Amino acid sequence: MIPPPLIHCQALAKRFDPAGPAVLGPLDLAVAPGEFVSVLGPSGCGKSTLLRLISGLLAPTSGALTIAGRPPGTLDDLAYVFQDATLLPWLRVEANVETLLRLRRVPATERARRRDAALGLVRLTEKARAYPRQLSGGQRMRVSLARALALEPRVLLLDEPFGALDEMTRDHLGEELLAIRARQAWTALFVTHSVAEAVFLSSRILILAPHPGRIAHDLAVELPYPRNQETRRAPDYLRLVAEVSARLRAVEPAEASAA
Amino acid sequence: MSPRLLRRLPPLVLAGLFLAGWQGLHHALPPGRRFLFPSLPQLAEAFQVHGPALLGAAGHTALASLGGFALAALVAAGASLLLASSTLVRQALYPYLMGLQMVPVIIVAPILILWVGPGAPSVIIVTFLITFFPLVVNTTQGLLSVEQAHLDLFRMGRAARWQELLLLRAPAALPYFFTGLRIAAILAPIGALTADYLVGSTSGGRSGLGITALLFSARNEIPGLYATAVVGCALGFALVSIVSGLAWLALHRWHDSYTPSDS
Repeated sequence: MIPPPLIHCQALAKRFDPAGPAVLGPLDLAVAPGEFVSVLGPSGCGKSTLLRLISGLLAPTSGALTIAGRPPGTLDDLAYVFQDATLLPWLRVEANVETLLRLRRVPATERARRRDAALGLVRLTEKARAYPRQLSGGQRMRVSLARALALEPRVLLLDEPFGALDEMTRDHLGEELLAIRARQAWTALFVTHSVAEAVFLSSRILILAPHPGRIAHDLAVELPYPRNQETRRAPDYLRLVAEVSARLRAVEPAEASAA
Repeated sequence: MSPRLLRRLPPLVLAGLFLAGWQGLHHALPPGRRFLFPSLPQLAEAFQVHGPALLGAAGHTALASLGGFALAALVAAGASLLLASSTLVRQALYPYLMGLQMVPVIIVAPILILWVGPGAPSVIIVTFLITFFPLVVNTTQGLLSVEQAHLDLFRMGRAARWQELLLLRAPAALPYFFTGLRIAAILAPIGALTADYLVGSTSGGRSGLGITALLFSARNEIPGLYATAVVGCALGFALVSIVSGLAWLALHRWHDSYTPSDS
């Protein structure tokens, strides 16, 4: 039996200016539990808008959207990882990881348990007492990830979380993310600019086209998990990266591909 | 020479030059006008003669400036929370706050004397009026200057308004609050001194530095006036040091204005 979709968009559309053109949609999308879906597309194709709609930060203009059968913004086990680490500079790492649990009035002992587990997952237990400014960019991003994981999420939304990091750190964090996913079963929607990252991480890739944002391609990535350094050299991986790159280039606006 | 000594040297040299310049200025004046700018020994003598009186007056002014300052900090913190809560409240109340700062003390003074009478309470009220505005403006600005990404995070976390205010806006406003406190710390002793001059108690033993200055002025005690000014400055420095210490305690671990100590 096919499980019901966890994220379900039907004719979902968003326009910021009521009189202007739609930024996104109408768009149909069904994400099944356990999928790791990467969203690629040129700037302005509404990738982040899609994520913000699902998170409940933005309200849709029209169409239907449910997560686990419920309206967006009502789920306790949906977590969002922002483009920047967005840590609170006045809190130690441990308190930062607990921030969202504190907002949900989770009792202190339970908070501590989840915090320690999340810091363990991102391998930053020894930095629990540090302040954000004492960490490197990659470490901050891992704390940000730990803060999301502490919610023990069912859905994890990631908006270009590794975009500001160097390639080495980026690759490492990608591998770590997959290792964590093997231990915590969440469904991920991952916005990125990097084709290689998308192919490496995902079980499915959406390529959005702009004006208005719509799904141009919906591709399954049939590389076996667990994936590691070896995967990055596998012929299937390289072929997929080339294929996705070509398809992505085809949906870029004319002026961008001419340049 | 050790680097530590080398670092202490410039301020010491500057202090020496300052004192030498002071003494030089006294001697540069024509002998008939030297009384206008006392020499260092004359100043020392003034301190010796008026020491106990100055100390007592300084105590009263210090208490009044601390009182007005603390009251202003407390009320400003509360008012800022109110002002930051909505644009409407802010637009409605702002003109009155500015008005509070604009009414000249010289006009408030006689009214205060009629209402409250001369003495410490009036001095504290004037000090409050002078220090309140920079505090409330800076703190409100701080409460409003929260990064959009952090607000998104709190909205994602479905934070209640009070949680956003207490856990996000208030800590983010701390550096701004301390900027306001620093300005207020400089203004408070000046304010208390001026207030004492205008609305202070003249009955023996309860007057502050303002009344002391008034008396010196009336008796043409020029070195005494200078000594009063030095004591007033010392009060200001003391208050600023206290505030800087508190700011360090609250901010040094995380704020960028303090360099990381261990990383």
